[in-house]
Amino acid sequence: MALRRTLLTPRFFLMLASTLCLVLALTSWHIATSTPSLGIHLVPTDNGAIEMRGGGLENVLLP
Amino acid sequence: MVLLTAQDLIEEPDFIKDVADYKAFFAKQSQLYTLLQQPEVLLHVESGKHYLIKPKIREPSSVPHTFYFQIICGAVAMMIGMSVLAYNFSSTSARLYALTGFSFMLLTFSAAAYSSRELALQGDLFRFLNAVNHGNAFIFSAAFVSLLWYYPSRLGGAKFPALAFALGALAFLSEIFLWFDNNDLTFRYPILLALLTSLILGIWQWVASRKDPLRRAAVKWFLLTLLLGLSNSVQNFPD
Repeated sequence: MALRRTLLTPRFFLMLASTLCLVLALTSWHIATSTPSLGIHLVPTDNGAIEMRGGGLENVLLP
Repeated sequence: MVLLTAQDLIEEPDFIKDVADYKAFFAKQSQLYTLLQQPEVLLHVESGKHYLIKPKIREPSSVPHTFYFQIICGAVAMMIGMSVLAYNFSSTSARLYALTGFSFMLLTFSAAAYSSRELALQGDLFRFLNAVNHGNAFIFSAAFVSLLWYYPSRLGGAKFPALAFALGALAFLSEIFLWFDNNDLTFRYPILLALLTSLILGIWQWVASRKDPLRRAAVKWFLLTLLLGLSNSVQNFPD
């Protein structure tokens, strides 16, 4: 009963919710930053090809 | 050798209508991900030239702004929902509102992780995150429809919200097991149905609150968010 009263305190509940939110946001950030990178910016074009920018490959088109 | 196309760069695989193409998209993401684990990658371009590139782990500064935008939106929705619940634990409306905030957070956090990838994410992880995104879209829809059933005026018994959540669970199962060949049936039509239902409930609430200015003000706010959600969803439907 005492545990239930503690858990249902608005301040404790909000602290718990914000911790969960932070952990999940960091997980999402970890996934986003763990993806492999070519070091160039790939931009889709209207005709279905890809244009590369950066890394000395400006305006080079992939087939 | 893998041929890169503009479709490999799409932020959201929901835009792929055909389920066979949808599965092929995740398979190709896995293929690209495996390729990018190699120390060197040879890039053949349109002019016939070759470029030797050494893939590396992404720098945090290259994560686009859209990632942070989605994270902030999700976190704000979650904390507003939980703040309302923290002071009204026993209220059904507060619980449903908190559930919309919680599911919206999971929906945006999962989308942020895959939509901000540079080129490829491991296919199974991508599919899992996409399923989390869809599952929470169904939970959000069911909770929002149920909320409009209870708030500001209670429109009836508990059978309708139970039905909304049951249909949401059914839609999620069809998403997991890909029962249909068309993503419109799997994902878009259930969401559209929920939006239309909430529009009908919004009008019902409007009529029910005609003699109560406070309730009428609450309905106005809900109808505004509803119309914004509806227009955004319809705009995102592929041709």
